[in-house]
Amino acid sequence: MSDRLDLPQGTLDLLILKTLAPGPQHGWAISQRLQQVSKDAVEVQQGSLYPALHRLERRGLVKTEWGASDNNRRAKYYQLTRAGRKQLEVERDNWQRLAAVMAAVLETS
Amino acid sequence: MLSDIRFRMRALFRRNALERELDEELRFHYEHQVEAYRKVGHPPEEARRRARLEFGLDQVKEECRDARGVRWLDESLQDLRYAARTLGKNPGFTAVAALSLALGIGANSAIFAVLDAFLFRPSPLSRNGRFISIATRNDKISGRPISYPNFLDWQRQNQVFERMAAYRISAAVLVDGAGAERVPLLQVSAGFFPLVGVRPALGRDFRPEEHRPGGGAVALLSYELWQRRYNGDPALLGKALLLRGYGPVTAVGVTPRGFRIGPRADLYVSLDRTAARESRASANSLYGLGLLKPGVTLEQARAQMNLIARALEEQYPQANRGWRIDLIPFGRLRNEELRAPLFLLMGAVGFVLLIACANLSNLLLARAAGRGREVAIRKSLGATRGRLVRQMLAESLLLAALGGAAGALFAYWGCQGLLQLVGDLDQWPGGEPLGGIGIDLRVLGFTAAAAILAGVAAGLAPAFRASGRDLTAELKQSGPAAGGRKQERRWRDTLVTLESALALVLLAGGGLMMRSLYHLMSADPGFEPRRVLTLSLESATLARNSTAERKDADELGRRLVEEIEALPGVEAAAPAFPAPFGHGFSGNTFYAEGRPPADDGRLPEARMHYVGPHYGRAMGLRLRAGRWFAAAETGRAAVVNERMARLAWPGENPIGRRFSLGGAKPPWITVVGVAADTRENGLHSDPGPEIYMPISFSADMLVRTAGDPAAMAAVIRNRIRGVDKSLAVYDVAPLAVRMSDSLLEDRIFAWLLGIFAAAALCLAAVGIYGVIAHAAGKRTREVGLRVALGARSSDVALLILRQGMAPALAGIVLGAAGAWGATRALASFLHGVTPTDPLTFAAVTLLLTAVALAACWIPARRAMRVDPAGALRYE
Repeated sequence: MSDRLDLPQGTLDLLILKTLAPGPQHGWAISQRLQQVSKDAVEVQQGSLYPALHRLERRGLVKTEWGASDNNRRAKYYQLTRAGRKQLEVERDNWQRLAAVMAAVLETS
Repeated sequence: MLSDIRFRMRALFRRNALERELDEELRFHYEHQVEAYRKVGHPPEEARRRARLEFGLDQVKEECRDARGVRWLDESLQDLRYAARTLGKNPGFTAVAALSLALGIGANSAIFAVLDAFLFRPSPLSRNGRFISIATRNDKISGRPISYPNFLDWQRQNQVFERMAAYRISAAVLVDGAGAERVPLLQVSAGFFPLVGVRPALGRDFRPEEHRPGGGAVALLSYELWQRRYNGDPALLGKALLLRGYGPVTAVGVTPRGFRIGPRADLYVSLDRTAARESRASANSLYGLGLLKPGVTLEQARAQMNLIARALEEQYPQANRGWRIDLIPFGRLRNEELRAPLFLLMGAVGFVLLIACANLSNLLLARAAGRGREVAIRKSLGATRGRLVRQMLAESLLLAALGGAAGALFAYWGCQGLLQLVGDLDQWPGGEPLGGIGIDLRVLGFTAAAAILAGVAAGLAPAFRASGRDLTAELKQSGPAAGGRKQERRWRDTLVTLESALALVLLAGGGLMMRSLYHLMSADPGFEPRRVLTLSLESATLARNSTAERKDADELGRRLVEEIEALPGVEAAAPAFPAPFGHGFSGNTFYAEGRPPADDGRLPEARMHYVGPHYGRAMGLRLRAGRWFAAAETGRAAVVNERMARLAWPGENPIGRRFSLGGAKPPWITVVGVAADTRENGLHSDPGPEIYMPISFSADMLVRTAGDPAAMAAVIRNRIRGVDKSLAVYDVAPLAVRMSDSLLEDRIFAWLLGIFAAAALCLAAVGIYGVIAHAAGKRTREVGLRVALGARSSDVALLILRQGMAPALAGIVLGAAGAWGATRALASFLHGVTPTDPLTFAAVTLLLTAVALAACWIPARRAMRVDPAGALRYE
């Protein structure tokens, strides 16, 4: 596990929002997707995924709905709200600016 | 934000559904995980194991619950449920604790309801604070009534008030064919009704010319009088009513139902019509009202009125020196006189609540002590101290909530009882508060605040004590604590001391007021009030303006006395002006012939009593020298009291000496008798110089009867109507009743303080008993051991008594010292007893000591009966 990154504080929320951008997903799919896009570099502790989802719901950034999954089981789907989309934009910008600044600072000798 | 609240609400109220959903969601995830492991080749058992390892279901659930953000609330609900269960298991404890709190909170709320109604609650007429009471003040007193000329000048000169008006509280006797009745009356200036914002429900307001001298005399009636006396007959308007003291007035309007501006009034007549000649210096009996112009603040108004007052002070130094204009938000002016007693009562009930809190605190401590192991186990399982404190506070707060709810009920009853006790609120200064006295939202808010405060105050110390215990020591102990909790015992002793001290202060206060009341009721008034009937008479046709009319009235008076005295069962009858314990006083200055005048040229004053020749017999006055005058000596002879005799002719025989009234000039009046000093001017005031002069007729009469005076009322009334059937007889009451009525304030105050002191005594007794019973219970084993080793039962009793009485006695001593200082606040309410009356202090100290002893005695006796064998096996 040593080659895997620990997620800095707050980034999990951003990753979840990003994952949900294309459309509604249930929890399991979100975790799979996260692992997939990060090429397994990011291991989302499953214990932290669900509390994060509930927190996002409380903040009104995602909403939930029960629906049928691929194998026709009841699953709870998460979906971005309008506030969630806005938040995604804002946090993405913030993150990119921060990353650029960090890179610039670290580059200078 | 909104979604947040919605989410939390859902989390709170649909917890079970949410838990199910959470469970389902996580299971779904878990099963997919297992499936994933199986797909990569793990056997089912291994796949499940791995998934479980990765995904600690319970921990995730707990974290999700946290994420819902209602954990704090959730736990609080848990605490409350737990507290409710524990309290439910101990109904006796719960009842005692809640009841003592309810007593304290209820008493506080009831008194607060009165205090609020009289002193704090904004008046419903306040019009956003623009409605102002206008009075006068000097360096010492404020809120004093004003004179008519000053009012007119203020009204003319100010630019801060949109309107201004004045009124005088008065009374008049309404006479017609149906009889006579004394009714409360308001003299109002022009613009009074528009200012107050009231239009007559029937008829019309005063016309401008009706406010001018010589204008038509008209009156508005209250809706209530119109209904009661005239059955709501609209034909009354335009008819003349005879008002004794005002002459005939024409009824022109009826005020709306329930209308009042403070003191109740049944009639409204013009002030301006008759007040034009009133003096600036005296006749200070008006209250002003003003409506501030929009945008003018009270401060600005005060500044301008101050300037006006200064200018008038220079212009009329004699009348106005030192007097300023007092502007007070409407509704606050009234009842300055009630402020001190109400705050005193509030302080007293505050003490009662403090005692109740100390009691509850003690009870909780006792229980906390028994729960040491439970607390220790919870702690070892990871509960933080804060969590434990919260849990225990939940219990005391729940008790406080119970106490508060019951307290609100007590307050309701208390208010009802109080109003019953007070009777007619209009006899109080300022009358009944607008909006009435009762349990409203403000009072309920106060009740809730008091309950929460009491709950926290009582619960905090026990909660901290209980949660702060040493873990291992607690768990190691084999049974209930064996000593070692010195600190806790000290704390509980302190509470007992506090309770006893507070109770003693209240007892001293209540005792002093009771003594004072007893003194007022039992001290020799100087006359014989039993078997005396007082009555008033009035007639529509009776006039006393011309000499001839006065002669007729005198003749009528003589015949009335003759006829009434001829009745069997009547011993004497006499007209009297003013009637003792009636509606006013009469005073005059006197000059004793031949005496040099005082340095400042002022003549001494005496109270005047114009009475019939049989007045001495009717009242039971004691004649010290000389004789009573005869009817024929009107204007020439007088009886003076001893004080007057000493003042005017010190060391000399006053009989035969002469004096004059209102100045050192004839006519001279000869003293024919000296009567003993009396308190017929009021039981509260010491007798001053009094002069009795003959009169033949007065609207007020006294009749001494052989038996029950009330039983004679009908016979006497009939005989009076027999003499002149136009005479209406009203205000018929035994003199003793009138005297007793004059003590109403004292009685209420003494009763309330007495009741609160009794409540404090009961609560303190319960508290002491609770502590001692608990402590004695703890020492059962020790007692058993002592008995086994040969201690006598009296030794055992002494042991328990000493433990209980030590803190109680400390409290009693402390309380006596505190009361010594505190009762000073009562000084102005006490008559015939000093604030530090040794007898009262000794009595209440003894009483409290006896009650404390009794409270300790029960547990002590129980300890005496301990069976040593049983006690040693115990635990």
